[in-house]
Amino acid sequence: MMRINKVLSLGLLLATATNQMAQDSSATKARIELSGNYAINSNAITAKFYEHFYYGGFIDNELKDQVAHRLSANNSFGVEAESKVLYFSEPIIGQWSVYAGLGYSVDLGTQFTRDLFNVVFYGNAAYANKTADLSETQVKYLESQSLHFGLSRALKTDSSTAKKSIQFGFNVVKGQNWYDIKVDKGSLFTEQNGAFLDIVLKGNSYHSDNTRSDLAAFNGVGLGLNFAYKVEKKNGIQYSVELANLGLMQWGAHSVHSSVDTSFHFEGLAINNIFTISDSTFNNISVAGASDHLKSETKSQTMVLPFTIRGKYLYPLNANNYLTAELNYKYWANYIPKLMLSYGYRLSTLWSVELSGGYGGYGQMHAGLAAKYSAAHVQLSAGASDFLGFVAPSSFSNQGAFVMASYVF
Amino acid sequence: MRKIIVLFFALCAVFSACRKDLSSSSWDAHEITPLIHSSMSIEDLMGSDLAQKNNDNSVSVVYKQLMYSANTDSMLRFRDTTFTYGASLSTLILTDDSVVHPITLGSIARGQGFLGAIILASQGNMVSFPALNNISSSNIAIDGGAFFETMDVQSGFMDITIRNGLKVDITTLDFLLSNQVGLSTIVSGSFPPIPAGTSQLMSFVLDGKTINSKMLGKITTLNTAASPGTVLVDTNNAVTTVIKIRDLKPKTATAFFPDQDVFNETQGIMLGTGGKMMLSDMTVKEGTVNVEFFSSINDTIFFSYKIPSASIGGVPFQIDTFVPPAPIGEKVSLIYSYPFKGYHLNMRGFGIENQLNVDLNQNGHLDADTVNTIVQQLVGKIKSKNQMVTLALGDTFYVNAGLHGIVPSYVLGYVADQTMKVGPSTVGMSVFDKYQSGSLKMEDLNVSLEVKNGFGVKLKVDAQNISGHNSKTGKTVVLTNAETSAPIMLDKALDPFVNGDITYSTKLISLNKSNSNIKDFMEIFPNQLNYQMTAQLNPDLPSIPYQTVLATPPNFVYSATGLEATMNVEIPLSLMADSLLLADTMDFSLAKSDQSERLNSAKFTLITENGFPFSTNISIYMLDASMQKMDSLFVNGLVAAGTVAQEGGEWKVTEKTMSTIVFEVPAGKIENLFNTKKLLVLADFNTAQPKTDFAKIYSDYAIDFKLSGDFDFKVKLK
Repeated sequence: MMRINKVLSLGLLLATATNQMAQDSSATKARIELSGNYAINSNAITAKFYEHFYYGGFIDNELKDQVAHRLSANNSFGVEAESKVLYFSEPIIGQWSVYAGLGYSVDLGTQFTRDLFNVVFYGNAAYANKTADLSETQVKYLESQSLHFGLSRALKTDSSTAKKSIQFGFNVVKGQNWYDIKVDKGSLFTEQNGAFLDIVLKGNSYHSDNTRSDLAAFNGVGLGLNFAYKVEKKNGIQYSVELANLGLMQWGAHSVHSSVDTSFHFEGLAINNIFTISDSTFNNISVAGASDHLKSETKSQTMVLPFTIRGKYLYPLNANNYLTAELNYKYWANYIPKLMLSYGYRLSTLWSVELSGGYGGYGQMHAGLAAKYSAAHVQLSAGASDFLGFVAPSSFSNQGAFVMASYVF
Repeated sequence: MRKIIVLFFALCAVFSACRKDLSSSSWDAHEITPLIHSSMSIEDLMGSDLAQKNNDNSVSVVYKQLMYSANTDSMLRFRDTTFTYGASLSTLILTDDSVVHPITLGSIARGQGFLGAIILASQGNMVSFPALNNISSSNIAIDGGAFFETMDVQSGFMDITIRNGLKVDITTLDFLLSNQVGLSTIVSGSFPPIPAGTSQLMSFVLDGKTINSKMLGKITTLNTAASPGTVLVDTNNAVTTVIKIRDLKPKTATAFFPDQDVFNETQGIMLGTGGKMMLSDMTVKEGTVNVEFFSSINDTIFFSYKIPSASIGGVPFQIDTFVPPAPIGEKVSLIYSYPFKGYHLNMRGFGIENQLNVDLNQNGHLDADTVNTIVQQLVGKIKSKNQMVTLALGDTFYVNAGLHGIVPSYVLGYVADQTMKVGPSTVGMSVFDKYQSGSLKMEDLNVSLEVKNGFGVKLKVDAQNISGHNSKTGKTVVLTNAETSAPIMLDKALDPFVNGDITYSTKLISLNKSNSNIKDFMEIFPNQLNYQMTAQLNPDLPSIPYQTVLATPPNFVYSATGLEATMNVEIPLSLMADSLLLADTMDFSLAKSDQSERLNSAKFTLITENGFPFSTNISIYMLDASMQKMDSLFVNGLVAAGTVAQEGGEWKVTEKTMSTIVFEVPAGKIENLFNTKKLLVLADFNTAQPKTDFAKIYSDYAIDFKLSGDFDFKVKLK
């Protein structure tokens, strides 16, 4: 039994796995950690618009106008949601402790032009005798569940260092649902009276088997690697770097890849005799324009998992005040590096609060608020990673919240 | 730990549940899109069956209007024909039968006391016999049970033969025959003297008698004369009685009936053709042979019905069936109907005997051909069985057999000189149905009246009145033409048995501006064609001997071909239209759907590029199921005429002209659109050239349509 444990441990070491380093991985006691967060970010889509779109309801012109005023040439919208439970053991192989857990995540990243929003939500009537630019449109969506395994240990410290730890791990990812639509080049010209449309479309789309996409669907499998390194200086300065979920996902044979690279002039359905028009004639019009130019194939697909690179630096101002800088990047859609600066204030030995602001991701400007509780065995934190979307949903886009609880045995 | 896991999955479920509810998201959008486009030539507008391209690429309207079509149904009608054959017990027969009973001299002697003893003692000796008187026999049992049990005789005879085997003459012989039961007398009588060695027969009528199989016979008085000298005494010499029953027709009988035909009838039946028609052959297109059986006979009747005159592929029509025994005192009835379609009828009566080489009517010779007659045979049989059957005089069996609903597909012979009257009748001319008002001048036109005779009969057709009528304007023009005013003589069609297919005899009468008023006739746009005419068959053959009909049949008629009168119209489209208003309806159906119900309003743009030399002012109305106007789609949408210029004396379109018709369908009109069943299209045409000139329509002229829609509708996800 001992031998088996050693072999397993060696295997895990070689596998270089990880976990996010939000917590002190060098702890010498076992602990369990439960976390969940979600964030909805956009540079243009207001929170209220999104709520109507996502949760149902009529999107009136006022809602559309609020978005329209915020649109730039290229826009983004993203949703990140994740929940996770992890168990960290006491050191069991020398200084190494083992962790394992379960995770669930949703990643949606979209990019769209102003014209696309206007055509979809206002219609193309406003583009009579104009060309709507639909290029660089992208929708990437992934919903998955994962099993987490890894090792962590405390490293030797020097005279200036209080704690130092490193962590390796891997995730086995179960793919539930996946869409990846990219329009590299697209435009729509509408003749003044609608007599014809000139459509240019070049792009690709992928999606997993859409005959089944519920929680139990097992449409793909992937492997992601994790790494984390954290240092706490005796002077209170902390910094860490983290790489999460770097890997590949293989989607099953029922996945579909479609591509289109065409430009066509559509004048409606050609008929021989206008005296034979019926409603079925009109039903065929949409079919005539689209499907003829689409090439599709059904086969297995491989994709890069949405991995994350994160660096964090904490600088204590004094015993009760500190500043934090955090830089995040997610490889997914048009996510841009996100820099967050926060100010923390320790209310007591147990409680502290943080106020943050930043730029990047899908939503550009961010403002957050959090509270933390830290006792001998229990750590709690909760807050809004983006609160402006809650406070003024008609004017702001970003909404985000998180909760984390950890118990040290 | 378990609680934490549960909490984790709860979080997953929350994310997953919040993920999708896009189906109820909706918004209004304003989309404009092309819907349809089309380019329509005159052929597309009128239909390829109407438009015909001429050598110079100009177009003519070519139209055929069938005025009248007649086939054999109006000429050949046959009455249903039923033939009844009946039979009763009186026509049944019982086998003639006889019983032989000898009375020897010995047996006579034993009843004569002393004298008898002397006779017996003289056996083998030569003796002189004295006269014997008042000799009688005892009752002699006679059994007819091998033939019958009992019978009440309707008619019949009993023959009693006395053969005198004695050596002396019988001077007196009285006898009595009675039934054993009840001793009722059957017959009795006295024979005249019967010389020795001779026989004497007496017949008795049995009418009204009841005869049982168990009978008693008795010689009540037998007197003999004295022998002329000595004679050899032989006690085996006998007076032999032979009782024979013959020609029996019982009222009732329980008997063994022999195999016999209840009836066997062969008859020639004349089909009811009526008039002077004489037919030698016919093929049946429709019809049945109906046979009804009625029987109260307590025995199975085997039935055969045959029509030697009717055959398919040489196999004659024949039905073999049977009627089961009727319960005593009841009747059995059966009705059968047999298809007669496709049978060829040889209607030469018993002349078919020559073809079959059989004397069907058993008159001793093969009969000669006749006409209109078929031969049929009905045979009903009783078959003997090993048991007695009780039959009564009241028991009957009869058959109704007949031909019903006979419609010929072909006849050969002489169809007489009958006259078919047609009309007054009216047919619609659909080509002008769309006309409402205004005028259209035609530069020229060619019309022909085509009369086709598909009968193998000469015809004399007299078209007494042909007129065109426009029911919308009330205008009527009677066609005037010298040829149509006179009788039209049509030769008979050619016999298909020679050529394989009928060759019509056709008469074409050309109608044009110079020989008729056909232009005036057509320019009123007649949507009704009125006519009245007669067609006389065989106008030059009022009568004919039937022998000639049989030798060289003058007529044949097929049901598929007959007399047709057609008006062929060709109008070169060189026209001058002045406010010519045409109306047409087209089916329309817009089903409500999830998409259609999300339509708030719509605006349509119809862009036309007209390459025809006429303008059109179009109005489209929505009609409900009862063809009532509900609303308009648009009114007075003008499609301008193509640009025209004179080239070589002709007005031609040099350039298409674009017109745009915009019509809105607001929310209120959309609901009407869903209830619309037809669209009424009114189009007011005016030719572009000066009103004094004509303009030709060429096959390369076209009008282009582009219809786009501007929709304000609610987008709903999913």
